[in-house]
Amino acid sequence: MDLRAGDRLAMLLPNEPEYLELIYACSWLGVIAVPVNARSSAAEIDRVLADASPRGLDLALVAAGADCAASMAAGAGQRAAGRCGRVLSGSNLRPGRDPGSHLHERHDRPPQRRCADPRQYSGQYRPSQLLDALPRRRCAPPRGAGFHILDFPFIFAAPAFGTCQITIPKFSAASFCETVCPANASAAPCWCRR
Amino acid sequence: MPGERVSRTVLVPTMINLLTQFPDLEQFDLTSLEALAYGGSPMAP
Repeated sequence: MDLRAGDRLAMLLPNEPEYLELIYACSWLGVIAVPVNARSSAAEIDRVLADASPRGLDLALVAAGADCAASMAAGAGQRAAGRCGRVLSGSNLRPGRDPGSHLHERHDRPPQRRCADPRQYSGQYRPSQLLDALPRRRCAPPRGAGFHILDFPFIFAAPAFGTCQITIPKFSAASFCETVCPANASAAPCWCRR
Repeated sequence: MPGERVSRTVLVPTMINLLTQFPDLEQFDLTSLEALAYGGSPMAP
């Protein structure tokens, strides 16, 4: 791939190992991954890709597997691919299909668009307890960056700004706190030094 | 990998729930955290 650090790489992929490979490849190269939910509608995909199009960065490409490329060519992706760059791979194009339905059909699972009833969570979560433990500092994004929640900026834009992404392989409250807690922190994790 | 001074993180509500229910939470210094994003499912305010 003709990608350089700072480029944005949009990914419209189902949940499969290649997705993780791309995520970590981007982190390794300093490329900003723009994950696009494969369950999104064509309009939603169009909106995400339009929002994530180059903003002071060099280039944005659309990488997709064969089925995903077909989905993209079917609707919004066609416009987005023209706007963002080129489709890196693709075949078996079948126009007129909703991207999500295409992917779901591939996995023989119908789209699940159910929205959980928030009332079932009533009293279950107490996020304010955790938020109260956080310092009351204003969260300022890196200078010059225009972040959008759909960009998953915290994780996927990290390499472009020289920060380090840490993955907790087996999450637990204790492992999370131990990872964050700066009490025993070294100056920088060894794998962050360049 | 203790003490990485994590400044930003993304969790799902299930993980946030585990944290809020974690009895030893106050024993950890989480002041390096500046922002916590979540997604994947709804969460009551």
